Amino acid sequence: MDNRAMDVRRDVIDRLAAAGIEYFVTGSEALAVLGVAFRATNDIDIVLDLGPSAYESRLRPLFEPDYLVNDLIRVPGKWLGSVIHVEAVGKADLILREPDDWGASAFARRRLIEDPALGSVWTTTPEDLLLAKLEFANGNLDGLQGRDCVRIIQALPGFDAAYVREHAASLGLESLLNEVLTRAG
Amino acid sequence: MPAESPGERELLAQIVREDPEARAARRAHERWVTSQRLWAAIDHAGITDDGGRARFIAGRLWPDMPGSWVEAFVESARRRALDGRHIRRPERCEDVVGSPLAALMRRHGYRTTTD
Repeated sequence: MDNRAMDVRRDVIDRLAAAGIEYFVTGSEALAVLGVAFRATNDIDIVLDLGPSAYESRLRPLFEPDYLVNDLIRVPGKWLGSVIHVEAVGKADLILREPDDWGASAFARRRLIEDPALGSVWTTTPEDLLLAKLEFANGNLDGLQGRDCVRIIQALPGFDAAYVREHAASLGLESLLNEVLTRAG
Repeated sequence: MPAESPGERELLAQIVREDPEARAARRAHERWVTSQRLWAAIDHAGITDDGGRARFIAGRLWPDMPGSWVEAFVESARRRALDGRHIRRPERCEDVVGSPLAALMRRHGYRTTTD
């Protein structure tokens, strides 16, 4: 792509949608889309409904040669990939979860939101974002992830605590969730 | 977890109350400013080759990026530069946030050029 006037985040989402690859935005960008917190971020986190082999057979040709498509990295419970537009300096981190109940549920519950910055975009729900941040906190709530978790609970009335409790138990995050609920009052 | 100060809480409350389009314009402005600061830092460091710029950018924008991805980014930037596809220095905010967000920024009074 030689169009200089581009938003890499929007371009990544448009390519996924055009190829029929199911996705949702999570992480700090989702916090902003959901209206919870609005700090500046230098990339976007996207969960894909793809397995590792489809990352190579479907996603890589969708983005190359315009983008650098990084090799997948294995971490517990998921694979991490990314695409970087080298010339325009923009990055999207891509998350491929191993199949599990929560991952399937998060895809079923995602919402299509009309966002002023990203346009029409599939976005995670507050409950699933909380679970993702609890998982990402890796046992430590004393930083940004912990503060985000508290904000999600405090900012969103009608928060489905029962849903979060159910999946937190299956993910081994119960004690962290209890701590966050206590801090959120 | 560090406690938020009353000032921080009020700032967050103001931002949450903000009109969504105004908020999108402000966040696009922040991305544009970040890009300008990044390139000023690259110039200040005197880095002129694409591989060096890629390594600098990765360290500033994406400090948690795995080492293998950093090396792939640096190598890709070097290879693309040989084909004349250099890392682009943004001249207008459109080059960072795209045309629709740049138009939104202008409607909300933000500067969108380096002039």
